[in-house]
Amino acid sequence: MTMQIDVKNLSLQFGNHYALKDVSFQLSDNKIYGLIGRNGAGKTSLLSLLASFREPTNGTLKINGEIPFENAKIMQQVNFIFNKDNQDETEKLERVLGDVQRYRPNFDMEYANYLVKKFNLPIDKPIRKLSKGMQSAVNAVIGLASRTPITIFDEVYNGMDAPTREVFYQELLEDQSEHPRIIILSTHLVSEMDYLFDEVLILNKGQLVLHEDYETVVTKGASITGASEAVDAFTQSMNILNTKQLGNTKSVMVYGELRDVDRKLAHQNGLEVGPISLQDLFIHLTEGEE
Amino acid sequence: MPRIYPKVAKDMFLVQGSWAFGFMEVMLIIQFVKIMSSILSDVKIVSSLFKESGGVNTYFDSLFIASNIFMLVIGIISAVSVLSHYVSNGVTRKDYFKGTLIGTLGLAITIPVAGAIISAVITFIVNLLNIPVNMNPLDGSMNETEGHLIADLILSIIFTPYEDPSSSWLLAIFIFAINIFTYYVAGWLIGAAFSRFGIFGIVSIVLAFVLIYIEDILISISLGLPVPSFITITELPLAFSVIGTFVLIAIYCWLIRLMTKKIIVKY
Repeated sequence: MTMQIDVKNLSLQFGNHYALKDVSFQLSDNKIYGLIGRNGAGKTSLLSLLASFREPTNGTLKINGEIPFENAKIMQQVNFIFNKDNQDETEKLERVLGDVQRYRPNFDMEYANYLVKKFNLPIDKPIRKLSKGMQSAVNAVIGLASRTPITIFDEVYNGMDAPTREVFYQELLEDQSEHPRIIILSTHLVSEMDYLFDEVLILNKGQLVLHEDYETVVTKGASITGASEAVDAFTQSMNILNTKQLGNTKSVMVYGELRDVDRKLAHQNGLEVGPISLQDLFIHLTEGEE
Repeated sequence: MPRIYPKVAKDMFLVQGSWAFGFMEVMLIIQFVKIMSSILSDVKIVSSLFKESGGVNTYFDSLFIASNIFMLVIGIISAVSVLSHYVSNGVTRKDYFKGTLIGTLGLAITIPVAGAIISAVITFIVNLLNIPVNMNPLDGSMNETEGHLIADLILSIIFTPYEDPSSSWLLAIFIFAINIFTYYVAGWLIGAAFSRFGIFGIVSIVLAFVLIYIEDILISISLGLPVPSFITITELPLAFSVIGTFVLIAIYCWLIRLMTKKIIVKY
């Protein structure tokens, strides 16, 4: 089942502060969406609205044309996985998974057990006694094995070590291709995870500054390097994100469609055109005064 | 789509039931220790709480007193952490509310029934083995005070209206169930109010007191137990008191639902 998420002019306000302001977008394919933003950009606020943890102040949020808040049919299909505090969780993993299974119609216990082995998780220890990384892996197992049509992972990989994160990414890709669904990954670890994303959404100070296909985003950006004057002349009408200068050599990061003609022209002028990473783009799109 | 609240009801009954089981086990150990020390020291244990008739009170009676606080505490836990657990598993606040209400009603009936059975078995064994222990029922008039409101309040929290099971099992179980359910609702209200309003939730403690106090007075009048001196009604049919208590509980449940209807789940 493919779900459709429609967000229109969505705002969430705390007193005078806007955690989200006038955010609009649509997610309608079973893809992996990367939601990136700096600390406090509003990522978790947006996700908690999707998960019906709270209601928006203004605007509309619809999933399959319905308001999800207190809507049993929709809420069952949305799973918001975050690094929850498991200090008091005395239950063992086995019980916890059994409990989730009761409320998630697509939960696959066999797959959950496979993941438990893959992450080397002890099934008979109380969750609170597991290390932070293991607790994160528990959350990952719950998120993956629930197979909810809308699955949201909010920084769950934070506590995991690099090899564990790698296992998680692989499993995520494999399971997504076998059981397509909307997966939203919110993260700071952009350079490590960018290859996972089909589409990218960048939030900055509560506003959506970019929503594009990953391929498009990456091809739209380019770095132009060469002699200072030549670079200046070439990029003068372009959208410049960042400039670096070393002696007479200048490197400028531009964003916007670079046509083939432009590339040829650059080449003729002895300029080097290189790709820029999502990480670079993210940093420069969201930098600025605090 | 299958209905979700019956699942919640079953789970709440089982989870809270497993806590109750642990609690009843502890009470059983205490009962055992009481009986043993009564035999060993040959000194009749006279809890200062009970009349000077001496002897050990029955398991049912010990459970009767301790269950109230137990139910109050699990009521608080239910609103504070169980609700967010369910919402994060995709269960609506409404299904949580309905399921919890039904599951807890089941629990409120199960605890006194189980307590009565265990109590009967203990008494049977004590008599069979001819153990020299004096098993005494509680004296329902223990919450007699001299018209002091605070003392009344505190006593009505510790001692809820009591019916001696040896005179009527069914009524004793019924009164027990109403008492503990009232305490659960009181705790649930407090938990919900603190989750919803933060520190201002403190007001709910007064409301919870009012619920417990009125229930206490209503049932006490009907059972012919002492009531505070400012109550001039001396007789009320039990059916009236029970219905009155149910209406009051329903109003409180409605308040809890109002507070949790759109409650924000913290993460």
